[in-house]
This record gives sequence, structure tokens and C-alpha cells, in this order.
Amino acid sequence: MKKLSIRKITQILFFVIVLAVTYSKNATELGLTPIPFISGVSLHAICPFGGVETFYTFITGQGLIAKIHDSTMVMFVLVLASGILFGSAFCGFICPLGTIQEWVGKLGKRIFPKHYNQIVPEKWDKKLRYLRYVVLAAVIYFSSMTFKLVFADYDPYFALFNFYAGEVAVTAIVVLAVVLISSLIIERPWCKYLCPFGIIMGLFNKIRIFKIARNSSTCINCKKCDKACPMNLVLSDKKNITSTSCISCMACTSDNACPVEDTMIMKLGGVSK
Amino acid sequence: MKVDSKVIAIALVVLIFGGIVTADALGFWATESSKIPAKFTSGEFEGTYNPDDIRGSYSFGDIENAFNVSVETLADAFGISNTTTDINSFQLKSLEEIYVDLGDDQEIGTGSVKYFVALYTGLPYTEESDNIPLRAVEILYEEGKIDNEQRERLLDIAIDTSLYLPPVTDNDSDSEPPETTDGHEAEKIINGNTIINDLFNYGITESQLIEALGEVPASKNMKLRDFCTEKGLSFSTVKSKLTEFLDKPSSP
Repeated sequence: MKKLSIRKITQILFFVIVLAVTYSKNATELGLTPIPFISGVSLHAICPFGGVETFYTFITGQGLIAKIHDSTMVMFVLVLASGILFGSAFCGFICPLGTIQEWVGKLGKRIFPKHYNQIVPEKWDKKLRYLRYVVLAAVIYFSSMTFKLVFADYDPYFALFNFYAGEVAVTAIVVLAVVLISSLIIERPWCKYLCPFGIIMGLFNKIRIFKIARNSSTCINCKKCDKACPMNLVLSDKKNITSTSCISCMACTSDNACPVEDTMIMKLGGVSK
Repeated sequence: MKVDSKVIAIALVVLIFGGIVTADALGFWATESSKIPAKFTSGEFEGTYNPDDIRGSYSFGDIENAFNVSVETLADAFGISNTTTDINSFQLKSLEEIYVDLGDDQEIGTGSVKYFVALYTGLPYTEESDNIPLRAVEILYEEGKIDNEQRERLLDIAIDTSLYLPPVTDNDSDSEPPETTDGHEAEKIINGNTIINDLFNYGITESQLIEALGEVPASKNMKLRDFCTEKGLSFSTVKSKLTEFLDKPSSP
């Protein structure tokens, strides 16, 4: 049996934690038995994206929008700190919505071995990625104007962990279903084209302290890094990987796809241009 | 300095959990809101709690603490019976569930409480398009919180909530239908909170249920609206059909 990578173990850990916490919260309200020792807090209380949704109201002194708590802001700050260190590693190592897309994608790879993650034409792929900015702007605007978590009604992450509790809007369940079905043929479709938090974490790839970098003097130009990238990025002609789409999953590095030692690595400061 | 997946994973776990523990120790880790609304930051009412910041998770007790409007007044205004409900811990978001069947353009919910509290306390409130219960308008007028002109204006958006109160409020679905003082059965109302068992209590037969719903729901404690949503049925069509059955004189 294939040994689980440390990244996958981390993903499972956070997925299980979020599942347990949200179940405990919902179980209390549904009259089911909550998990002992796990205090049932809402998903909004532990989701760092809430910090983005309430950012405008917070900095303008209007306080936090409904359902966002101090703990949400703590998570937001902690995840931003991880961004300063490792860029979008939150997406590749922690985010449970990314994790479930990967799990569904494994099935997709078996069903569509030739077409998996190759179906969207490059021209469209590039344009569609800008949708993340549109979603982000819409979320911030409408949340700030209404003082409500408007995005919850469309949020597949909220739907994933609360679909059985009756509080989830049909639209969110539909979005979740579309994301999971798309994951059978596209790797991480939500992350690639729609995730408003992914774009924020992705921006940290440009300034992160530890950068994924390619040593061009030892690179044999085999392009295995390009093939391994779940986000379909071309890495083999870059020195430092600064794309906002990179999820820092380390699939391209010399620890994984790259066959030459110390050629594609995450290192302090990256490589000088 | 090279970093591999193991270092990233450990650093993230330490950062997240260490950060939570540290925030908790410093008193920043609050997973629930304080139930204290924001205050006006400027103007005539600076330093006073702002009714606009009342949240659905607030209870009548929280409102009383912040705005000095008694829970009894709130319960009376919003048609919440203090004999069947702990009105002190009654959460505002429950109002929308109780008055789910008001129609598309009408709503009694958190916004209504904000508006009522603003009128009761004389504080400003920006959103004045919320509906408000008829009883709330009466209370405001009786207690001298609004003048006749305001009363007339409020009556235009007021809703007689007594018509929409759920038939079963004490969670005892096996109990007999309530009776009026003259011995007749109380009004049989079908709304979003009506559960399947209520329909049987009203005298709806299984064959009538099959005619209206296509089947007899397996769970008798399920809300009629939830069943309709689950089966893709139009709630208003089903409601009309069932109301038709109720209106027909029972067979001897």
C-alpha cells in the first residue's frame, strides 16, 4: 500500500477536525449526540475567509458582520501569517474543500485517464481564472453593504460540512454538486476558477519568504514539473514560482516530480533573477 | 535554507494550533458573538447601543440587557407565548421560522425587532421597510412611544401575526387539538411550521394526503414545507389542496 505523504496526512487531519467541529455544532441543534470533548462551534467561527468578508466593515470601525466572531479574525490572521511564510500553502495543505476536490479527482483520473485535467483549452483556462477576482470583489462588496454573510448561500465549503443540517441554501448545494462533479475531469476546479480566498492566498506567492524556485543550472528541462502541477501551471521556464494559481502543494519539487535533486525546491528567498 | 513538505506541514500545524492556544490565553479566541450590539460612534446618540446591529442570534434577554426593553414586552409584541416558550432565551432568528408563511414581500424577523426596538427607545434606524406585528404597533402607541401619525404609517406595514402563529407550540404533537371556550376546535391553520401529524389531528385522512402529496410521508414529525421541498412539490399548491379538504364538511 502506498505510503501517505505528510501533505495528505495534514489534509486529512484538518478535514476531520472541521468535520468533527461542524458535526458537533449541528448535532446539538438537531438533537443528535455531539462528539465528546469537541465544543460545537460554527464553521463561520473557524473559517479564515470570514476575515475577508468582514474586512471592510472591520477596518472602517463598523465591527464584524453577522455570524463572524473574534475567532474568525484570529484564523484569518494566522492563515495570512502562513501566507507570508509559505504563500498559498494553506490551499495545498489545509483547505478541506481543496482536499475533497483532490479525493474526487483521484476517481476522475481513473475514469478519464487521458482527458483528466486536460479538458479546458488554454485560452479559456487563462480567462476563466480571472473569475476569482470577480467573485472576491462581489463577496466583499455585498457582505460590506448588507452586513451579512451573503456568500454563505453560494459557498460550497459551507454546504459540504452543513448540508445535512437544513441551514444550507439550495444554491450552495448546487454549487457544491457542480464543483464535485467537475472535479472528476478538472483538478481543483473551484480553486482554479472561482475561489475568492485562493486568490488572496495566491497573492502571497509573490511576496512569500520561502519561495518555490527552479535552479536553471541543474534543470534538465524534462518538464515533469509542468505535468505534475495540479493547477496546470508552466513551471519549467520560471525561476521563482509566483503565480497566484500555485497552491504550494510541492508536487513539482525535487521531493516529488522533479527527478534532479535540489532543482525545484522551496527555499528562503527563492533564486535571484 | 531549503524547506520540504514535512517542514511546511509541521509549521502550519504549529502556527494554527499554537496561534489558537495563544489567542485563547490572551482572550481573543471567542467563537460566539458577545451579544452586545455596536454603539453609535458619533452624533447625538454616541455611546448608545445601535439597534441596527441587533443580530438574529440575540435573545429577547440580550435585547432587554442592551436596550432596556423588557422580554415580556418583546414577547407580547411578537406573539411569543410565555407559557410555552422560555422568552428570555428566545432567539430572534426563530421569528422567521414561526412566521415563515407570510408571503413573498412580507417578513417578520430580526429586522422587525430592530425596528421595534428603535421605535420603542427613540433611537435612529436606517432600514424602515421591515414589517412589524400589529400588536407591536399597539404597544408602541399604548405606551406613548409613537404618535397617531406614526401609528397610521406603521399600520400600513403591520401584520396581524396572530393569524400565522403555528397550531402546535409546545412540541407535543400527540396532544389533542386545542379547543375554544365554546367547545369547538380551534382554527386549523396550515403553514410552513405545520407538521404531518398536525394534519392527521386536523382530520386529514391518509387518502387525502396521498391526493395532495402523492404519498403519506414516512416521518409524521416532518414539517409539511420540508416535505414539499424534498419532493419538489409547490407548497402553496399543496396548502390550497389541504385547506380545501379542511373546509369541506366532514363525513358523518
